[in-house]
Amino acid sequence: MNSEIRQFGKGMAFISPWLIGFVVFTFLPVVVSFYFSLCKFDLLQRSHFIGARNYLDLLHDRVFWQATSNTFYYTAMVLPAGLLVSLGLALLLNVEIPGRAIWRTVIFMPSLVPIVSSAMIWMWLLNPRLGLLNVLLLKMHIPGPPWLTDPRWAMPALALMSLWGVGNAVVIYLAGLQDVPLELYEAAELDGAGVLGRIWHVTLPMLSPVIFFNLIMAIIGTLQVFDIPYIMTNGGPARSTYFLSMYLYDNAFVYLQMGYAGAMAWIMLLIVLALTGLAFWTSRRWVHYQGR
Amino acid sequence: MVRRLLSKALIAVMIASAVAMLAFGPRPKMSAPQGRVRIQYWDKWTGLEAEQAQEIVDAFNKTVGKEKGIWVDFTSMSQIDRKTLIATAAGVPPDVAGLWDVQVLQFAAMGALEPLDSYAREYGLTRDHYKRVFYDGCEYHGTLYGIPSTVYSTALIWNKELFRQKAAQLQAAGLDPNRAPRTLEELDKYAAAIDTWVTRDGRKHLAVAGYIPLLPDMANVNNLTAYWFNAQIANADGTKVLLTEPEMFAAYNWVRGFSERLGKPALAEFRSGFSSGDTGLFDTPQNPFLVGWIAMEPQGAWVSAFIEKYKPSMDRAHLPPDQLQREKDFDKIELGMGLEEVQQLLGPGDSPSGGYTVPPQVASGARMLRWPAGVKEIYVTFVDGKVSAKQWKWLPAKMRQQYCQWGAAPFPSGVPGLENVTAAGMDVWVIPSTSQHKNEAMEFIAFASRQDQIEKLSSDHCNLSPLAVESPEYFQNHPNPYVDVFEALAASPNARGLPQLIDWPQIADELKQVGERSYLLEGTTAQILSDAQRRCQRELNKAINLPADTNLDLHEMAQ
Repeated sequence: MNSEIRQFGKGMAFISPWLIGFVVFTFLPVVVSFYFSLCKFDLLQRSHFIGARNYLDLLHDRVFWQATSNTFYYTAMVLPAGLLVSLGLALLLNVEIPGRAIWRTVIFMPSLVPIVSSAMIWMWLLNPRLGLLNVLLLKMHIPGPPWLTDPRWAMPALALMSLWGVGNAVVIYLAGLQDVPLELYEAAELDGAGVLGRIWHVTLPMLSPVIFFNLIMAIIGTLQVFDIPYIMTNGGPARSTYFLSMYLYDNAFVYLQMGYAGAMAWIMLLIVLALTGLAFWTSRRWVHYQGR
Repeated sequence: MVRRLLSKALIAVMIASAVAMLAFGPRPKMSAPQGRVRIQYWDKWTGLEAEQAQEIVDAFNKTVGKEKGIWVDFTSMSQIDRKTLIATAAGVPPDVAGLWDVQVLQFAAMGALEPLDSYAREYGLTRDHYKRVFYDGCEYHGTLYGIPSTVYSTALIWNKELFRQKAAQLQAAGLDPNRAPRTLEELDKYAAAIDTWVTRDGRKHLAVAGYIPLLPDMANVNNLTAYWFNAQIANADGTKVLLTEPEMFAAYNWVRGFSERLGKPALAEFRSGFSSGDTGLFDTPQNPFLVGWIAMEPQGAWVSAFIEKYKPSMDRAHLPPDQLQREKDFDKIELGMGLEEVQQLLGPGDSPSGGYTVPPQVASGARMLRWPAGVKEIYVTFVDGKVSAKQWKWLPAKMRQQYCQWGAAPFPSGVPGLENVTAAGMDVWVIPSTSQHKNEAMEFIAFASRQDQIEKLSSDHCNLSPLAVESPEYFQNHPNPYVDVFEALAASPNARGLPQLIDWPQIADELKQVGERSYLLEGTTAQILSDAQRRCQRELNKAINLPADTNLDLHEMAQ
């Protein structure tokens, strides 16, 4: 028993830097932010308790609703597109093709590029006068739109750009694909399954835990999207790419309404929790674990 | 046994590392001399601008600081406003912070800033010492909370070459191609005459625009567009937003007029050609004015720094060729070169006292020659017939103006008789309320605000001086050849700073939406302004603790 306690003590000692950091810089601020979400608080003056007023104000705040709607619109575009593109690329890169290692590197490389650099590259790619995308479209006699200055096109442009960074998910899918037992493919082949049949009946079920993991990460990532639109459009034009996270940031650090921003943060957390919970609930039907 | 030893060794290594970091870790680069009070000065300036601010700090540390026992540590940082606020809240603020004008009211209302009236009086930094608009902008409810540092006004810059190319069209419209427009009505006519369209792939594209409103990256000016229509934006005591006044309606109707005239798709395409999303390229070589895509822009005096850096030919369009060549040859002059060799390159030269101001000091026994070279005067000092020093200074501004391919003039107003309207803004020095060294901080601010120091800093940053009276040397040494135009505007009774609203950042964001929705033709101007008015007033009520429905009545506007 003493030895166990000693072991536990040592373990705690080793993780204590992280543990202290987590408690002091993450857990407590999260708890305190809930209290501040019930206050009028500007960081300098004493916080003033106002109950649920911030939450009620949010209900009547049309910019909040616009930002929420933009966030869901973006999520609805990026989530399925990202999952499909990354899964498709992983399946392609899992096939024995010449230069496979190089292709895998090429696909992964963009996710190593710093966000600001990616944003700057894409701002130029999407430039309607000089950008590569519109030049290519023009070669096909398609007039390219003013991607980032037209409210109809700004959001699709950001969604398109988000696919640039699917390399991380592709790597995870590739790792999962290596775990699919070959005998299952052989059995399916003997049963007369073609390529699509093998993917549908073997690959996808066996890969479902990985898809589920990527889905959860994508839900969290897309609902909290901030840096790319902040750099590329700053929410414009006419707030067409203004996301919840940006409105939260503006309220906290530009308008100095920390309480209001706190309320927004908690609503955002609830949305992420709800969608993640929904994904977990549905996962019973489509996620299959080996050995179960 | 081995595992136990290993874990103890690991713990020992971790503790030893921590101790080593404490003992030998990073230390400040410079240490203050013994016995001086050390104060922290944070400012937003980075790169070359930060180096120029550091020169003032160094000068202070060597002179007044030495005499009065003060040492200033300068830190250049981004997001100075947020960092100052957080540091102030934490009780460890800088002693001097270089903020923007927008924070003066916002921070003062929160009690984050030290009132400076008595300090400022002690050092003679009084209202009559400054241009009205800048001193007013540092006050909140009649109390001074900041001291202006470098400041700006906004003028219309115009491309003389594009005007010349379109002289026939301008003359046909009854306009003079040799001057800038003087009324807003004229500006619209000039713009329409200069607009140039090209046809590509069966579609018409705007290639050159005479003028377009709301340039990206010019939020400071864009949000105050209505000033040229004599709009107030808010009442004097900052309790009511006035976005539905007829002047506001006129201003944003004018903005939407460009989309209606040029076509929304063409204008969107044109705008995005020199910007990327919300990020403008005004401080890059792709600035549309420098490229020649836009003939007229509202700009601050800083624009000449970008012209000189990215398109110096715009400052030298009408120079005599030999004078232009001499500027290039000046770089070839090296220390130790002989007089004859230099004269072969630059010509004979003349005496520096030939009617030009303030020649550099020449040591006895040395000889100095002067040449006009490009837009500069160059001076080479010879000792024993060999080059011992070379220097340059700007040619007089009036002379440089003649060589420029661009001009600057007051931005025309939309109201007859309303002249020299300008949107003015500034950087400010403040003392956070929780600073521990307020007297020492003010000593430094007073030093930096001395005429020689502030004028040098303003020139270095290609901004304006906040002082009511400028020295002749300031005009001589300023890089912008039209600094007199910008200074006159800043001193004008119609120079306007930010509205007295403590939640201006939020109102400014709404005005940005008003501008964007106007040029995107999303609803009528009246609807757009009414939407913004309701939201802004609600937010203002919240900020100043008024009942939510106060002042929500809307002024009736003509549709």
